[in-house]
Amino acid sequence: MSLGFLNIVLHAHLPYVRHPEHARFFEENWLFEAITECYLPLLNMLERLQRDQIDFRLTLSLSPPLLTMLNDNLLQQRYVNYLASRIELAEREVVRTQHHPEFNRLAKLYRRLFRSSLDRYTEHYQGDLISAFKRHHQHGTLELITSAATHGFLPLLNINAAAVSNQINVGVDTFKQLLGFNPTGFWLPECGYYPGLEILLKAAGISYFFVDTHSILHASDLPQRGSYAPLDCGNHVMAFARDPESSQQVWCSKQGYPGDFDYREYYRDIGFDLDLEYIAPYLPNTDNRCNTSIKYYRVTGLDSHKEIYQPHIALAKARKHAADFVNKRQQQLAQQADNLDRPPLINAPYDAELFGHWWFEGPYWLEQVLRLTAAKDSNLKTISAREYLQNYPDQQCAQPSASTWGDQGYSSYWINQNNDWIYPLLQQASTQMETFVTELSGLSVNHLQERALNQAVRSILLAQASDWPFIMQSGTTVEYANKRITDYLARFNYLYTSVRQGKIDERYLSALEIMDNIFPEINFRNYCPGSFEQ
Amino acid sequence: MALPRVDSPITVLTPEELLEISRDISLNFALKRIRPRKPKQSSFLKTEATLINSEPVYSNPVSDTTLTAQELLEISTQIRQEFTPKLLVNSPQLTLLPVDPHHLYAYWDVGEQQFNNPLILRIYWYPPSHQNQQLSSNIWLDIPIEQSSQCKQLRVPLADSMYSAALGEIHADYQFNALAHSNTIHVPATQNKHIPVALHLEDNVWELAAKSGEFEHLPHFPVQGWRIKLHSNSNLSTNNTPLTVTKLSDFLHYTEISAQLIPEYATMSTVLTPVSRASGLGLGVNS
Repeated sequence: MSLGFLNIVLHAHLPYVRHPEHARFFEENWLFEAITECYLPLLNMLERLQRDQIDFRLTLSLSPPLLTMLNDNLLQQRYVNYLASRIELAEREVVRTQHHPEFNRLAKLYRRLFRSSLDRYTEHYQGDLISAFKRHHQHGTLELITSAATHGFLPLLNINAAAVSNQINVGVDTFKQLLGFNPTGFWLPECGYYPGLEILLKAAGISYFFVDTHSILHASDLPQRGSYAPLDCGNHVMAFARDPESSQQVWCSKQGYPGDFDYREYYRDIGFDLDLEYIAPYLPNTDNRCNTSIKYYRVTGLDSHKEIYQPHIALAKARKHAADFVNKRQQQLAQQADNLDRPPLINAPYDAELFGHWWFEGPYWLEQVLRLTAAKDSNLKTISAREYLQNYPDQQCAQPSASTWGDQGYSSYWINQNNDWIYPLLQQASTQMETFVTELSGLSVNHLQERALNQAVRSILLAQASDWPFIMQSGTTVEYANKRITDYLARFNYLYTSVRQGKIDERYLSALEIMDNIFPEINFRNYCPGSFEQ
Repeated sequence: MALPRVDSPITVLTPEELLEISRDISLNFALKRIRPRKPKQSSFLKTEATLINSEPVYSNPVSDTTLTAQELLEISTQIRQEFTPKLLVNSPQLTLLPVDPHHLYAYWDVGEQQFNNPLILRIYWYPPSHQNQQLSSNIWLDIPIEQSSQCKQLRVPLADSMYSAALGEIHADYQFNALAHSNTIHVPATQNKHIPVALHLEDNVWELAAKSGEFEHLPHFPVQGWRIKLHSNSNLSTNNTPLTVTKLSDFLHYTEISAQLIPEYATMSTVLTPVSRASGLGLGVNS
């Protein structure tokens, strides 16, 4: 008999970074690094667990932009080129470090990693990672859920009801098109919830979503089971709360596991350490240094001095941390079990890219956690939200409070003096689109107009991604974020004006369709629900 | 060749006019470089890239149009330059967005119009018991704004509450002339939401209110950091019971007293220039 349940949720998302207009583009490396360091290692982990007949459940949210990019043949080809480039660099590193055994061992490790990634990607998965994840879903161990179309930050898009419903509906539709079944769960971008969102989710066929802890604790009625059970929002759509302790142990930059001194240091990369002339052929832009994914040092300490990375010590630490995590969850559940009328549930959601990309040892840690919880004496059972609701369909009814999982727990990270300029423009574009679609109700449009209107909706959706205001506030690649949102809104303006004035240039439209080829099945008529119902 | 007769009682077009229209349609609506429509794609739209003279050339499967990477870049650049997003203001606009339990963001745009009087954002608070009533609130706070700044983060007194706003001018006779009204928003709850806030208002507050249409004293609003200024033309009965926010809002609602909320000076990290008759302390702070 288990003390309770553990629901581990990984949210995998990257902004739409696809640039056919450039031969190489820095931000596309975000995808390539995530595939190499996170998605392939997670798939390898799932296969090992399946091979060893480990009984576990894991939930993975795959955002529509990520699904689209994983399925895009241009990016697939570029990823293969990227791996070839990494292998070449690693081989040069093996030669360069031949008289430094500790570095040389690591250079060989990276060469193995890149070679193995290329082999797995091209031979084993045939470039189709979506089907690979789907196979684990069909096996029953991996719960796949969806998210908003372009990861729009819904609490601040709510000024236009159609904007939010489009983010949800296009997200659900994209998931169905690429995975072949209806998702029951929805990852709210940045856990951004506002009261009433559950109505749109219900209309899209969604049964549950995740919020931060305070959303449940500050609900309209005191939650009887705290954050250890979901709340029914009143329409049978359930809100599951993030567990703060599980979150703190993994996320916290000071106390969290990933900051352990034995783990690999993310910020020391040969892209910054070696001569530019040597490293330039492996950089997307020879003017700017960037990460190459080859990193030789461990966290070591809080200052800038770093010592060489020792993989076997790091893996031993990951095993220790996994045992600690499971032990603390057992204690937590034991404390709660007597107070509740049903086994308590701990929800532990994380960004998927933390595992492997930021925290190199993360996938190994996760594998150990899943193995330990599957042991007969663990008293702890992993479960998905869908499965939990099958066992416990009746939950307390209450309205969760508006919240996010961002800094301060609300929307201030996505609206402040660094990014506030975007919202009136997003609102204006959405209002223009709503008005136009409503005007076109009952009218037929020709094929070119239809293409232009569909492309206009794609441009709006891409402009709405939460990534752009996030980057503007974080101060990382601000110029890129500014350019992206400006480009998408300019493209919308161009298309809107073209259709309004009856002057659509097919060549320009084609160019936009080629560059922003997301959501091929989109239908502008669905932008305003009800406007085209006949 | 004779043109078919147009059977319209209203529109009669000459052959020259028809030719002109035909040319216009050809010019503006021609399906340039369009092939017959392909069957709708059920699978993912794939952009095919091939190399011609070492340069990637992309084909659009829905139109057979091919473009080089350089052409894509040029079109992207041209659209960015010629269609840069900008706000189109036909009439004064005002929008609110919720930030957190105690802050909201206000965006306004009044175009190029110039005003002789100070511009004010009047933020209306809708007490929980009045939220379903489609009435304008009689409890507000005034915030002076600069026309050119166009947005501001504002502090509001109560979490888990609804607010709307009006943008307008304050005239010399203290009349508020609204130019634009906003949407209504809800700011989130906080952990204190289940804790009633009580404060005892002294009897003489209400006595004074009863005697004076313009109440000059500023008793504390039942939320720390805020005071309340009452505007009443009706007779008031005295009240000496502890006051909760809900009781106060109900009292004000049913006695038709307007209440102006004013932030206490000590709670402000930024002090703005006071404006006559407005709250006097713009709440453009991040605290």
